Amino acid sequence: MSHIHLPDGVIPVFWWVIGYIITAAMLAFSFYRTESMGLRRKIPLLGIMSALMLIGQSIPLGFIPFHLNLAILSGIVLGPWLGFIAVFITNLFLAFLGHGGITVVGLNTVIVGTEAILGYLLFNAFRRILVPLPFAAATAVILALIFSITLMVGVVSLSNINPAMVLSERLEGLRRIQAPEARPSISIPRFVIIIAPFAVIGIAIESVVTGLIIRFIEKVRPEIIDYSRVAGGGS
Amino acid sequence: MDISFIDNLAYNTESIMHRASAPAKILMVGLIITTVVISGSPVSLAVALITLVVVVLISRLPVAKILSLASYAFFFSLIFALSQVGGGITAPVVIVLKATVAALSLLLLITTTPYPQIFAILQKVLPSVLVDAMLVTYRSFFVLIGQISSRITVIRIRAGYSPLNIVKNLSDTGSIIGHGFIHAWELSESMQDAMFVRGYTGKFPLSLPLSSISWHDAFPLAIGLLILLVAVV
Repeated sequence: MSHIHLPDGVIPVFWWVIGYIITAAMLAFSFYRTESMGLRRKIPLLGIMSALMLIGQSIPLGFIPFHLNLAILSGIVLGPWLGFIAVFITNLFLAFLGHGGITVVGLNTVIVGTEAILGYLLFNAFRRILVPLPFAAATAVILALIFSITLMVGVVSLSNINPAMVLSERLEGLRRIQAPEARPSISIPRFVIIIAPFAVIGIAIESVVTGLIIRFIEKVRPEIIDYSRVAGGGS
Repeated sequence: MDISFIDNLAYNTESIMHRASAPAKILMVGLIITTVVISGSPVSLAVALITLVVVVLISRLPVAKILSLASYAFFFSLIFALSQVGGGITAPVVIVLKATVAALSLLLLITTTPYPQIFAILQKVLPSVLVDAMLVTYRSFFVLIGQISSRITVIRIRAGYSPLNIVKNLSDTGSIIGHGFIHAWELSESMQDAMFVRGYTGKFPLSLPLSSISWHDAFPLAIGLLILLVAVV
C-alpha cells in the first residue's frame, strides 16, 4: 500500500543512500535477532512468505492503482525481524521488475518494513483486549498502514523540498529546463489529495482481506498465528 | 507480472544479449541507472528509451509484452508526475521517462539472463542467507501463483464469484489467500526437511564461470556507455 513507486533519479542521492544505510542496519539487526532462533532453518519459510508477498504486491486490483502488501500479515506470523527481511527480499524483486526504482529499495524497505514491525506489535497488543482475532488484525492493519503512509508522504515531502533545484543541479553543465524564478513549487498537499482516495480504499481492502485471512488461518491452523511468539521471532 | 514468462525468455531465446555474460549486463544496467539518476533532460532519456527498445528488438524479445511489463512503472510514476504538473510539463515527462527507462533496463537484464547467474553475482555482495531465501522466493513464486490461479478457477466454476456481491467476493478472496498462505506454510515445512536431508549447510552452491565472459559482452557495455554519454555530453 505505502510502497513508493518512484523511479530512479527522482529522490536525491542523500535520501536514498540514507534509506539503504537504515535498511542495512535493520537487516543486520534482524539477522542478529533471528540467528538465535535458527535463521538458516527458516530460509524456506522466509522465501515462501516473500513469494506470497510478491504475488500480492505484483497483482494490481484493476480498478484502482492499488495492490495488496501482505507485509503486516508477514509481520504477524513471521515476527517483526523475519518479516522485515521478507519485506526487503520482496522489494528487491519488485525493483528488478520495474515496480519502483532500484535506488528506492532501501526507503521502500524502511517504510513497508515498518508495517511488518508495527503490525506485529499492534496485533499482539490488540489481541489481548479485542476479540475476535480478525478484528485485532484488521485494526492493526489500519493503524500500521496509516503510519506507513504518513511515513511515505514524509519521504516524498523530504525528497521534494525543492525538486526543481534537484533537477537543476543534475542539469548543471547541461540545458537548464527552467529558469530559477520559474521553478515549480511541488505541492505536497496536491500529492496527498491525489493519493488519499486510493489510500482510504487501499487501507479498507488490506484490513478486510488481512482480517479474513487471519480468520481462515484461525479456523484451519491456529498455531500458525502464534508461531512467531513460540519460535521467539517476536522477542 | 509473469515471472514464468520472463524465465522462459531468459532460457529459451537466442541473441547477442543472451550470449553476453551476466556481469556485463549488470554493468550495463548500472550505467543506465546512473544515467537515470544524473540526467534531467527529457531528450537524453528519450534517446535512452528508444535505444533500449531497439535492443529489445535485437534481443528477439516480444516488444509489446516487454513494454506492457514496463508500463507498470510508467503508470505508478504517472501518479507522482501528476502532482508536479503545476510546474510545467518537463518535470512530469522526465519522471515518467526515468521510471520507464530504469524499468526497461532491468527487464532487459532479467529477460536475457538466467536467474542463477544473477543470484551468483548477488551472492558475492549479499549475505548467503539472504540470497538463498531469494532463490527460494523465486522458485516458490511459480508454485504459489499456479495454485492460487487454480483456486480462483475453482471458485469461478462453482459460481463462487458474483460481481455484485462485494462482501462475498472479499470473503472468498480471504479464503483463497488464506488457503494459499497455509499451503505455502506447509510447503516451507516440507522444503525445510528436504533441504536438510539433502545436506544443506547454509549456502546454495551457485557458480559463475569466468569463462562465460566473451566478446559478446562488448554489446551491452557499448549500449550502457552510449546511453550515459548521450546524457552527459
